[in-house]
Amino acid sequence: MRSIIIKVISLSFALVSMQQMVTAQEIEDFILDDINNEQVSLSEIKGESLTIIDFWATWCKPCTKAMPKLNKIYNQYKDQGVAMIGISCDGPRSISKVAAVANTLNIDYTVLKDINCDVMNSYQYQAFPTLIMLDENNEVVYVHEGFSNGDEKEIEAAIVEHIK
Amino acid sequence: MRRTNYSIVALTILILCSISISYGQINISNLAEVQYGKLPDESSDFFPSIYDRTEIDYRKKGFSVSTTLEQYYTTKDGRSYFDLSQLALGYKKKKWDIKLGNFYETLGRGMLLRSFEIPGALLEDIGFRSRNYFHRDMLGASVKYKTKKATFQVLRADILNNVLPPTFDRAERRTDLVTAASAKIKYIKGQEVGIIYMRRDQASQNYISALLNGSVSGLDYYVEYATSIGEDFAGIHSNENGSAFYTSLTGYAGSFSFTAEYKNYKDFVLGAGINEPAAGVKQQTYRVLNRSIHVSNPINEEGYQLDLFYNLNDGTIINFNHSLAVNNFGGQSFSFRQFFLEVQSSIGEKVEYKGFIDYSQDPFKGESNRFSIGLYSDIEIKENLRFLPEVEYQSFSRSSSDVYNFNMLLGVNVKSKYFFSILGELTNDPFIIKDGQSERLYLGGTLRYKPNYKNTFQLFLGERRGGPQCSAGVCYEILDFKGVELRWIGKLRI
Repeated sequence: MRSIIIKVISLSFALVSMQQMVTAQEIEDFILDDINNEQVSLSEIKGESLTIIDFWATWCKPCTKAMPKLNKIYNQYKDQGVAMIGISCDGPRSISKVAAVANTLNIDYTVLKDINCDVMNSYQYQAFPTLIMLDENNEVVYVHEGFSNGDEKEIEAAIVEHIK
Repeated sequence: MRRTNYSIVALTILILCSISISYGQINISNLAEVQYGKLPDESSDFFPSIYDRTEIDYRKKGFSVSTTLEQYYTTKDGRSYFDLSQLALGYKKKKWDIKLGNFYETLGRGMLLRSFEIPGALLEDIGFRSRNYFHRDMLGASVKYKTKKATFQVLRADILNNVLPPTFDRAERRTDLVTAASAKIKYIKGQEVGIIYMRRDQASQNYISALLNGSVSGLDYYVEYATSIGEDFAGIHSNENGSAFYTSLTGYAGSFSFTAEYKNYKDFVLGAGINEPAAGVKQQTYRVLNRSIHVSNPINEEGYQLDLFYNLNDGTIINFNHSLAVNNFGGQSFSFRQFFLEVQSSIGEKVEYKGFIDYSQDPFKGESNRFSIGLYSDIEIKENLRFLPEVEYQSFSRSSSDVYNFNMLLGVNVKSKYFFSILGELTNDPFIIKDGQSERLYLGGTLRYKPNYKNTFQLFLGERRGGPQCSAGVCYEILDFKGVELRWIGKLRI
């Protein structure tokens, strides 16, 4: 048992050390249905300067708490080449509520449905909500997991930092 | 674990890193959980265990190679394992999406087929007492061709029965082979019609499903009917008269939105977890309600759900939900009824709150007049310091007992990096209390540190109540725990 603990801890330290080697992550183009049942690709709706993708679900309380604040940020920066996309990871049990919740929260940005959560899983994001910010080359320049009140200030600061 | 296994893993990581630096991108994520504890009522001493899951994913211009390694070690005999639990090749470019190896897929709304994972959730069965990640994937091949007007897909794969941990042979965990084909066509703007065929080899059973999906004048609709269309010969389990019908209607106008769902399932449990028809009950994150969620039974269930949302446009959102689910077993009818009301709002700029009240009847569980109430608050003490109190109460009658559950959480959030909470749960549930006791208290503390998105550390100390847990629309059983637990989630991009 002791040797196993040492090996697992060693592996963990190795991974932590390797985190210093991080390079930009690129999000490849994808196609999903929007809440009007139309297929939309990332390349069609991406922003000229920045694209913000928020992975959420209707049953996730921090997600629905964050969305009105993200919508406010979107309306503030959309004229500066910033696009925002909400990708719902609701499965069969709750996907019918996506449009209702988005409407209730008065969301103006594009909301897409990903019943298999393929896009989020492909890049190993596992927390709800997860917000990623892409530059004009679809490279991830900022990631924010979870949401607590006040986090919107940090997200806005990241937009200001990365907007061109 | 044998030294050769470690060598293979280390060599693989090294090779992938080398390739990545020159030609592509690697994502690695790791979840490690160390426990020193036991079930609270277990007679044995505290014992240590380590669970670790590493995902390695390489991708370049539409091609991807990914693998998942799981390992679990404990001092108890027969529970430890090292498993290459997933290996997948993928190609996704323009209209094509090709998967080989392990993958997830949902056809329609999951009435015929649904595979999935619950991020961060570990399964531990009381019978096997080994821990494994909650994923129910498929092992085989899938080809999807998707255009703006149509989607075509064929797949053939073995389904994972994830109740059995990796200590069981792969052949025992994957006994059902399915073959499926689906076609969905958008015949006019926003209107889609689809058909799905699926065959289960184990039961030699064939199924077909037809669906309509679309949006008309602010109303979104979905209709799907699935049925068995016969078997080649008498199988292990036959759904020869099985059928499932599900429909939903969603509408919104101004600040008002609603979703209405209807379901009617007859003998439609396919194999060991091949399908997962829509539940038609609200997904709850409040502790007492989450534990009480009605778990739909596609063997025999009919019912509906109505969800209403209203935004007062001053930051106040009201949600009302009503659901009914009727099960008939042995000539007896059980009607689950739930009425739920939630209000979330704020007081000034520094206090946000949400409160709920719920009334349910659950005769299948033998629980009547189940009444639940709760209040969650988020109070800004000063910039970057928030106080998060949560309180819930539930009472119901079961047989001749009046049962209550009470819980209170006191949490503090600092800069969204540090979170500390103490959760106390008190109950007099006869199913839980020990002989001679009138009440039982579970008390535990959690400290979470998230220095950046690449690392999350979480330490739990104390006693945790188990029971039914529902996450992402999937319900499963978690065990009580007493002891100390440290979890680390790390990410790496190269």
